[in-house]
Order: sequence, then C-alpha cells, then structure tokens
Amino acid sequence: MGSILEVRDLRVAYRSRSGDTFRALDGISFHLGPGEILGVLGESGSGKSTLAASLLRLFRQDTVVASGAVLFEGMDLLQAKPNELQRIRGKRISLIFQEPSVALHPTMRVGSQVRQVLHAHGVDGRALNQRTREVFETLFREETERIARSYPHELSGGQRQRILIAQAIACGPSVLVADEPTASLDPTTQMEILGVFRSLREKLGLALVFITHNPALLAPFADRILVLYAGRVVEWGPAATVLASPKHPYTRALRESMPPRLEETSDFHKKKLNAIPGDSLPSSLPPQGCPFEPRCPERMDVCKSREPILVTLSAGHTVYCFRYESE
Amino acid sequence: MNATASQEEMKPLLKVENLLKSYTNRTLTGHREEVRALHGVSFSLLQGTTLALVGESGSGKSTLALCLACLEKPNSGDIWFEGTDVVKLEEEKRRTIRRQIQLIFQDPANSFNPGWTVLEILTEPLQLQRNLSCDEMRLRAHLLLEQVGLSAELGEKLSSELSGGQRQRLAIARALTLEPKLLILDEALSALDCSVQAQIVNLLLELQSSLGMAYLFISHDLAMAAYLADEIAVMSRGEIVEQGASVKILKQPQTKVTRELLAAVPRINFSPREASKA
Repeated sequence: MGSILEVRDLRVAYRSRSGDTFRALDGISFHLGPGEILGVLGESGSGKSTLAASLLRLFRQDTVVASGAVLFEGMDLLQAKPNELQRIRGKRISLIFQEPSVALHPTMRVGSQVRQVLHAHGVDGRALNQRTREVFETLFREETERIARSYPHELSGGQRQRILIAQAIACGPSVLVADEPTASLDPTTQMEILGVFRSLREKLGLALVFITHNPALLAPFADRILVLYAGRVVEWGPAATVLASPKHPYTRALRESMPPRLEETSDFHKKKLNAIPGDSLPSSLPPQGCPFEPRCPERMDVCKSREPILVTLSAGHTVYCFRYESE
Repeated sequence: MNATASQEEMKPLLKVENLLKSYTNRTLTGHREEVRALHGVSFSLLQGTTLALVGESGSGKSTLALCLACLEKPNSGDIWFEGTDVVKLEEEKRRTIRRQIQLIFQDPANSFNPGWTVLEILTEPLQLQRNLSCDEMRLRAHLLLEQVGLSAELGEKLSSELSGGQRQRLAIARALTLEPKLLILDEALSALDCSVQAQIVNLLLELQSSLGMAYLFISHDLAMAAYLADEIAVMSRGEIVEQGASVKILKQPQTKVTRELLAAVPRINFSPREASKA
C-alpha cells in the first residue's frame, strides 16, 4: 500500500529547566495513505502537539533528542537539507494551529496574508491573484471579496479559522496537519469547520492528520485513529473499530468517562461519571513498565515491571497492552 | 430531580428579574454604538440545585455571570439573593453577599498569582474575611485540599506546577474557603481534557450533595449541561429563549437555537454493525 507520509520510530525529548530529560515522543510509528484522515487522540502531555510540529521538523529549542524518520513521499524530512525542507513546508505539507487569533497578523488584510503564502512559494503576477481568488472561493460561499479585504478582528472565529485553512491549502499540499483546530470555537462553528475539512478531502483529495483530545469529534469523519498516551501509540486502528469497541484500557476508560449520549441522559442524570483517576502530568522518570499503569483500571502485576509491546489484533488494528500479548 | 418535591415551599436562593446590561462601544470614527449584552433576563435558582446556561459565544452568558457575582452593575433589573436585592444594596453590605457567590473561570492558570504557593492561595481569602490564627488557617486550608481531592503535599507547590485538573480543583477549593451558597462555573470544564472533565464533574456532584451549594453552570456543551443540571436555560442574543427541566429541553426542544445546539453536539454513534463493516 502506498503511503504518502510514514513515521518510523520517532523519538523526541526535551530538556527541562531543571536539567531533566523529558520524553515527549517515545518511538512513534504510523503511516498515512493519500486522501486518508487520521485522527490523533491524546490528552495534554500525551505529545500530540510535539507530533504535529515534528511532522514538519519544527523542533523547540530545548529539544535534545530527535531521532527516527518522517518519510514524506519517500524523503526523510528529519535528514532533508534546509532548502529541500523549505520547498515542502507550507507547500506540500501544511500545519494549522489551534488559535486562529494568534496565528494571523492583526493589522494585515487576510487576503494579503493568504497571498503571502503563495508568494513565498514562488507564485507571482496574474497567477497569484487568480490562485488567491480560487482559494477564497473554495472556503467561502459568498462575500469572498469583502472577506479578503477584512482584517482578522473584523471576522468571526469560524471565518478566521477558514483563513488559516486557506493559507494551508493555498499551495495545494497533499498533507494537512491540524492541531486542535476547533478547540476555541463554538459547538456550531466547530461542526461547520469539521464540514470544511471533510469537503476539502472530497474536493482536493487531501490527507489529513487531525489532532484532538475529544474522541467524539473524530467519530464523524476519521478513517483511522491513533491514540497517544505519554508519548506512545497505545492503540491504532480503523476509526469505527477503535471508537465502537476500543481495546486499550485507556481508550476504553476515555470513552466511558464521557457523559452518556443525549438520548439516554434521563437515566444517567446526575449520576457520577466513570472518571479515569489521576492525571497525565508528564514525568521525567525513565520508563519502567507501562506508562498508563498508575491510572489503569485493568492493571496486572506485569504492567509495572516491563513495557508492553505493540500487538496486532486484526488487520491494521494494534494495541500496546499486556492483556493482548498472548493473542 | 431532587428539587421538584419541595419546590412549592422552597424560596429561591437567587432570583433574577428583567436584567438589562448594555455596553457602549466607540468606533474608530468616534461614533458611539450600543451593544446590548443582556436584554431582559429573568430566572430563579433553588438552593442546592443546578441551572445550566447554554448558548453560543456572544449570547450574554458571561456578562450575566459577572453581574451575578457583583463584578458588573446591570443597567436595570433586580438580582435577589436570599430575598435581598443585591443591585440596590450599598457597597458595604453587598460585600457580605458577594462572599456567598463565588466564581470559577475557564482557565484557572489565569486566576492565580503564579508566584504564590497553593497554601498561600487558599489562606488569602481567609485572611481577608475571617479572624483566624495562622494555625487555624493552615488547618482549614488542608481540610479544603482534602475536600477537593488534592494531596496535602501539594500545599508548598506553586500553582504553575500543577496540572490543569489540579488547578481547577484548587480554584474550587479557593471558592469554598468562604463557604458560598452559590458557585458560578463559567466554562469551568472547557479547557480540561475529557478524562479530567469527568473527575471535576464528579467532584462537583459530590460537593453539591455534601454542602448543598447551588450551581450556575455556564457552558456551550449541551451534553455536559444536560448531565449536570436540573434545569437548562438556553440563551441567545442576550435573552433566555427557552428554559425548562434538562430532560425536557433535550427531548422536546422548542426553539431553533436549542435544536441547532443539540445538532452540534459531537457524539460517537457507531453501531456494532458499522464497526464490523469497517
């Protein structure tokens, strides 16, 4: 199977101010097919934002380890020369950040901000104007002219998020990485933006890496789901399987900790939720045993002593847990 | 529905009548523009119960919270708290009422002094409001930590060293220092991870049944609101457009606003059949 993006044993570690090393990503491997939507599920401290940035080789200054490979169309981005990287970033792979109001220049018209991206990648003259118009027409149904002439503060949160998406797709990338792109939006706007991503995949055949902490957001549109916990892939498989019958205790507990479906609420009303105890505060201790062991409702003796291995349950569904090691 | 039985004889803890609040915006050309944030809001809240205020951003939820916590003065209308009209009260007397209404925000990181330890954060309100000795204050602070499920060892840590969930627990503990009767939770769960949200929800339910506080739960998450609240009020453009028992709002929404909010709740709806197909 041809994959457009393949990550092999990616490891990223940071050095904290106190001098400790903290592993943000600890041996991540997965692949993404053309036009596929991969949902990355993880809570704070799981390494999901580090993963988003690493896919474009954007590392923080305090990074001490960055090993493994990020293969984009066969080229390893972690080894690529700066000018090669320049041609790929923002053009072939784009990144959309969480907060649209911070990512946009406050005193520059949004139209110019989209043009700037195209210009930086060598689009000039007539083609520049035409392409900018096309991009706006892809994302806005009406008033494209007025919106292009607006400043960020004159637009709504949803419109600003669409501008960021416009910048990201301007050069016709084949992979889009979106890190919590709907976190700061209203529920109705959130649904609208999810719809935008879905239609982009249909129209442009984009592959999407969609990062979030909310499993319910992935339900309507992800093809596959990768569950991150403490910098490790704990479960990876087809979205429907992972959401309907999760196998890893963390994914299972996460599903059970959400309030019940609205239709059923009358029966469960004001009863306690099945919360996962503890929290995922990153620890700098060297790993010994399963990282989820302290919070795991299904822990066994072996979980403390050594790390589990990834077990393949069925085609394309893998779990990182001792419970399945014999299978 | 723990309120319905005795609803008749119970007096509301909080009663809001016809609240109006508008802000004046000055545009670049010097033109004055009136923005109506609250436009005739009325509701009441019984002791020990939860009312959820749900709506899009800009619907006036947070302005309402600020007015109730006496941090904003409404243009007109009344806020009755245990039978006293808070709006018309002198500043001096209002302060005693303010203590009983505590507010918790979305991002607890912004509501603490980053240079203070957990214990300092918890003892400050006690210093201001009570005549307690140092030892008594420390004891009280430790009890509060225990009440919200934080270990006593965290007392010496800075708030910036805590995780998001721990910080929200600390915010709740600080709100409890003055034994309030009403807790206003303004998007208090929105910044937390799903697994931590459930913990905080459980803590809130526990505290309500042991302390009998009333909650005003402000959120755009209708699913969580329905779960936590006895009643839901849906706000849009500064008005309450629909109000009723949570179950009723969910099952028979009457207005377009509510139906839209319901449709926007993300949910996992895979049947086993779909799963096996994939």
